[in-house]
Amino acid sequence: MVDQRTIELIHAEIDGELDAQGLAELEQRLQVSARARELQLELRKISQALDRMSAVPVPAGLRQRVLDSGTAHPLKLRARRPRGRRLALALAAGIVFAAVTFVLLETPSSALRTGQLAATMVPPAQGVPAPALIERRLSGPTLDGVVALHPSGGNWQLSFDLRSAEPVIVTLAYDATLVRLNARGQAESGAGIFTVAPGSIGFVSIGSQHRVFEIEGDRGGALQVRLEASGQVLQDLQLDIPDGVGEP
Amino acid sequence: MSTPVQPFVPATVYMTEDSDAAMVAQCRAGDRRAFERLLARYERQIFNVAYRMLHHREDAIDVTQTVFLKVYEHLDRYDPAQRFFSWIYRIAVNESVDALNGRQRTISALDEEAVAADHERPDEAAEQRQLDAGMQSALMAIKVEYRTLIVLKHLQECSYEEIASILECPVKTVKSRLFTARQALRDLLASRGWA
Repeated sequence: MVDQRTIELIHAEIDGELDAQGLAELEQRLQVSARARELQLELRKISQALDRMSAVPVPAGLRQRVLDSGTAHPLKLRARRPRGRRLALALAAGIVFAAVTFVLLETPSSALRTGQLAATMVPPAQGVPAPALIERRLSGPTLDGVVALHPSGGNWQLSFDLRSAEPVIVTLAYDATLVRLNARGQAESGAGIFTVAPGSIGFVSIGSQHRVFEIEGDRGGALQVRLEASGQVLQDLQLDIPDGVGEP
Repeated sequence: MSTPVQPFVPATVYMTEDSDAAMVAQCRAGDRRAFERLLARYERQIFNVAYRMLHHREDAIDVTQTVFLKVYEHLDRYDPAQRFFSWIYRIAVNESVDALNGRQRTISALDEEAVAADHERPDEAAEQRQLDAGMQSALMAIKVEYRTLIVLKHLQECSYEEIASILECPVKTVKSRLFTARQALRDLLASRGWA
């Protein structure tokens, strides 16, 4: 059995935290205890093995992913906002920023249950799209574009063509107790990055962006779309997706 | 012997690196590039803390992203009297622990691919991978509070004082917990026939 003081001295020595007096004391204690010497060797071995563990390289694109995911808001404006407003914005932005963000992976359509509203990020539609059931034009000093709902191959396609001078947070909200949104897919180049929380899907649009969601399922539902930039709500839209998706 | 004549006076070049405090101040003044510099400075450490805590590459990426978003969102709450290093590490540790608590799935396989392979000889690389895998597996088997101590001390090379600042506890507590953590790791490795 090794006494507590000796154990502490051994750990401190391993961490390089012992002064000359401490080292001398440890030496004395080690001389009279074979078990203490054994413990020192074991702990040193473990410590050296830990110290030899490699640093893990940072994944390519992580930095850009962080920068693209919402850090482009001007901090100065944020800092000047009243507290109540900041809290409200934090709640709204929380959907986008505080929830679990992930790159949505492609899943087979068969995994989507009927009877649910499912949204899927898909590659840009090829060819001429069918006439839109809903088309909302956005126009403003910092943002313009079109949000449209088209029938496509028995499903709905919800497209966002946005051009903005600053990063725009786009949040799609719905009642999670009534409808369920699943999402998968790819954007034009590589995987699309979304932020997902129950009842909400969000993304950040920067510059000129084209994003398409595919919606499928028997049940429709209301989608609330909010576009925000620099803490200001640019536009609120309500899109009523009819039951019988794909059959306008 | 004559002194050589220099055609011009050599300029003195100082390679200065902005301090964290200076970069944070610039961020708070709205300089996005300062934030990019902070990100460049800390992304490796934060990703490594998250990876070693979680042993899952994608989760570590998510945590790293969340950490920097939180830093950006809450820079106005950052107290310049404390070290930025401690603040961002604290967020990283807390986010990693939250991610562990929120895990739904079981990690069934070691995430070995992420380990750096900068060894010239294949046998050295294989040995390093084996060491990493064994130690990481052991780390995942001990309590998360012990893992935190080990990661900060041995993999991030933080001092007792720095760990105390990150975890907001006395240095004495750090020492005591670290010793217990190493003992726990030793016992585990011994049971696996390693130590």
